[in-house]
Amino acid sequence: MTDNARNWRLEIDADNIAWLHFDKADASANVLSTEVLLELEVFLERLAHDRPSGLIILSDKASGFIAGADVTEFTTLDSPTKALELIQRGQHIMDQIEQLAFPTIALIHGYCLGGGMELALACRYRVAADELKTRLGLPEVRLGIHPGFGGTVRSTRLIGAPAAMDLMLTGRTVSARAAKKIGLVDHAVPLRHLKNAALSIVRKPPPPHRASRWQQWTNHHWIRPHLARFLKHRVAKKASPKHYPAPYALIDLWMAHLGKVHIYSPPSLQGKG
Amino acid sequence: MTTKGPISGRAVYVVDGSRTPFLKVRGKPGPFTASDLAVACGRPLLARQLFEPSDFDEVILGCVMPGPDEANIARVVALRLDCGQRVPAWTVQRNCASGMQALDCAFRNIASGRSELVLAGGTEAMSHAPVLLNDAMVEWLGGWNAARSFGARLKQLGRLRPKLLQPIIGLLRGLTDPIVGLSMGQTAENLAYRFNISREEMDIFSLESHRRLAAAQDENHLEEIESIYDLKGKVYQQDDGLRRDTDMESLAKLRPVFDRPFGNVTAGNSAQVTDGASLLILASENAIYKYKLPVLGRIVDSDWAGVDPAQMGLGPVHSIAPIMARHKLKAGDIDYWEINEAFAAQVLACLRALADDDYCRSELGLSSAVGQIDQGRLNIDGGGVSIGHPVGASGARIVLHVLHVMARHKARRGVASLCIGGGQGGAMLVERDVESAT
Repeated sequence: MTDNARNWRLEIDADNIAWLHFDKADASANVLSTEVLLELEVFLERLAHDRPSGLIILSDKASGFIAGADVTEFTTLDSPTKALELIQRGQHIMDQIEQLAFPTIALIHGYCLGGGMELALACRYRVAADELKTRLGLPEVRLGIHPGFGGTVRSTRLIGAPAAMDLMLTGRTVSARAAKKIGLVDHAVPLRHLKNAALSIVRKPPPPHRASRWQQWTNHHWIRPHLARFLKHRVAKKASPKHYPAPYALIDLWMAHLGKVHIYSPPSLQGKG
Repeated sequence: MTTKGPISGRAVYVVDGSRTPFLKVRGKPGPFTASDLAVACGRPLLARQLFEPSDFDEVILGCVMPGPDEANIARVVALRLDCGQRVPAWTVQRNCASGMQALDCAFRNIASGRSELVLAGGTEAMSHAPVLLNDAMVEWLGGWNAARSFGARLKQLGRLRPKLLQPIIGLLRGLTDPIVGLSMGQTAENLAYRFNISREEMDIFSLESHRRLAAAQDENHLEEIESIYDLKGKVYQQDDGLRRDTDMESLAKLRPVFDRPFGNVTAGNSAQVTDGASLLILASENAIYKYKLPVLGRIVDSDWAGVDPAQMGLGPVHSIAPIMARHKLKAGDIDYWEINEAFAAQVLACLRALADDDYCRSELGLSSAVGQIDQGRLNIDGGGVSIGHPVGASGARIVLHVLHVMARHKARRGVASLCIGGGQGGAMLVERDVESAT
């Protein structure tokens, strides 16, 4: 059975596994535009109701998984309310993925960046193709912003603050193998086994990856202020807070709000998320 | 695809041939070295000929990993077979096709008139593959030899570290492509992915390979096998890798060997690592008349092709296609096929590629597919998965066996082909005159 939207294609195979293919219309790379997210939301609501045995999210683009949010839309944001609306829609959809009651897997090849990485982080498992062109990261800081779809919370929780902050503050990307090493993905496998790996997870779901004891400690509220000071000190060597506020905002956010999810909900938008 | 011309020159005949049983490697060096194996199948072969071993113009053997006492193993074998010191002998190496390369060299030399009567084939004792000292250990040994005084020796002893004793397993290195860094099994995984070949299909193919070998043994269809005896007097009569008790369930239980944990290529659907040898006698028409030799068949053409090392298993497709084009043949014109089963996935990939119009157009520059090979005419007495694949010997075994199959069925044309680690393929077209050969 298949079901098509403009940018997504849902296939339910004989084993009742849902394969959600992302193939953004009229584009060579997948980005999370408003239209894409709205369509995704509809699919997620249906899947939450239909309860397949697993959901595998994959890209049909040769270039990669998802390159990030649609940054061209940012230029049309003329008020903080609109920006907030966009961010919260994204957050809400990522939460929907996270709350699905069956195994969810991001099948990653090529670029998996920014919003795409955040979507992958919202899945219970991540499997990446061990290829030269596979790059994963949260490079938002390079655009003067920081991850906004829950990636800040999920990355620090998944792999501990030092590794997650390193990715977000430098904006650097990592290979599939490096991602596997730090726990950002569950498996880095040759392209030829990408689907096998996802299928074997759905058939026999292992416990999802968890940060090690010491990685969890780095997020402890006793440790956080000290680590935050150290991180700011490191960032200051590269970027002044006057011209580059994003990394500092990111550190403050982590220090103040980790563990509390919907933080900036103004009254007008409450109840939606 | 490059179109090379066919071999021009004199007709080349296969007179006779033999092989040893293929003996599965069981974790330790087997009872025979590579030269022992070639000699063991060569003695009965030469004993039944009407000419003397010294009548050969040359001896050519393929071998990938001869032992340390087998430099130019063909010469060692020729002398042990009493060919005499005047018969020159040389060894060839084209990895998994070394045995077929030896036949091809003999074929060309006879066709061109340089030789009349040649002993050619291949041998391999994979169980005797070298285990090497690493460079650091060799350096340490150099230091030890240079240390003269008691103090210097003591000092050198102090430099001995456990990691110096870490051996290099020659067999594993040999089965890994040094250019693309993939093991042969991983190249088969690549093909399974590209041609969408499932684990189940591989296992079905492998089960059938064992079934066919069992049937061939029961019906005495492997008449080219010569029994061999080890120093303890133990006799080896049949290929001992055959598993009559295997079934889909036990094959499905095996774990992937090359791509853990998600791969599909297992020990059960790959060629067995074995020891074995196979020899053939090739002759010109002059030699046939001179010594009144029988004729098993004719080698008509051969071809070698290069392919992507990461997909080396497709080699047969690229070496078979030019032969078919040169002789204006379609798949249905060939009565019997031997495509060496390096991996079940690899043979299945070759069948799909040969039958696929798109593949044959884009990769081979043909106007349409070479055609569907009928599996009822392919490896009908089993293959590498059940018989084993002693790398240097298999190429000679499949040419000899396809000729025997053709004789049994009074068939006219056969093709033997194999894939070659490093990204090559080799193929040979053989024929029999149905009227005169009966």
